[in-house]
Amino acid sequence: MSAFKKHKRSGRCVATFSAFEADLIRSLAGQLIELLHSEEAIPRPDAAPGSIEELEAMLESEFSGPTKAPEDPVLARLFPTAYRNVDDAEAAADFRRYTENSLRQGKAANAACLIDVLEEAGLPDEPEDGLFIDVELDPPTASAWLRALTDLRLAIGVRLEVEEDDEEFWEALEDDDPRGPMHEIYLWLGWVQETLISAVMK
Amino acid sequence: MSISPVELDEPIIDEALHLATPWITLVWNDPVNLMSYVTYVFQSYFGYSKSKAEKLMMQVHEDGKSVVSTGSREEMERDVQAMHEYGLWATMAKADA
Repeated sequence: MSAFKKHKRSGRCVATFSAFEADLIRSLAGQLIELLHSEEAIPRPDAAPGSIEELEAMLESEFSGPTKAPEDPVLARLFPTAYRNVDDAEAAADFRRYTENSLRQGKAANAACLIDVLEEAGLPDEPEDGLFIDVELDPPTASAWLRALTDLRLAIGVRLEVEEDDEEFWEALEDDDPRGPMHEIYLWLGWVQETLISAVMK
Repeated sequence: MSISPVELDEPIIDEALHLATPWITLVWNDPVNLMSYVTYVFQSYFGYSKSKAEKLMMQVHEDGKSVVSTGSREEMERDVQAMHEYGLWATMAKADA
């Protein structure tokens, strides 16, 4: 992949991905979207389709949301408890009730933006070798990409239990350790993000 | 002889403004987010200058946390929610807590 660069006249950030790289990002973004829809805390009573109960459940979900931190460590990191003091537990539950569903939707939309841009740039369902994908991001799209890349890196980083200054640990990993390739992807996504940040800030 | 009437002090407006304890938004260090990204977030969301954004980012990095904004509880709820949108680990607390 080429580093992101800012196109002077249009102000857009441009980069070229190999089909393999683009497909990898699409697959990770798809998994993130699936995760964001899991553990949905909206109570879903077994209401018959079209019934009053179903309508009530729908209205309820419009105005309500979860009050407890998600169990999955990735979701818990993406949606941290907003009030740290134990005394503020009720406020923390309220904050979560009013914000978590829209935060989930926003993050899913950013991840979908990664996929949409790559597919609109010509990424086919089954990419073949030798194909390259040129992407061009206008400022709002670049901002959505930065947030989506962050969420992908947070998800992988939490799963791998990445820590500060842990380079030696990853370098010493056995060749057949399945975490090795995932960590390579994690570092690569960091590089992609770094080049996009410097292009955006130019 | 009479003592001239005591002049009343002007009301102190500042005190009225400080009746409500301000709240703060804290951003915490995490091992994943890039230093350049944290700076980008502080610049683009809060509108801070590059030098202020970098100073706050370094505080997060070196001290483990930094107060990135101060205001009413509602304002801090908005800021914390925005930080979570960006993927930063943020919390809020009363300024004196």
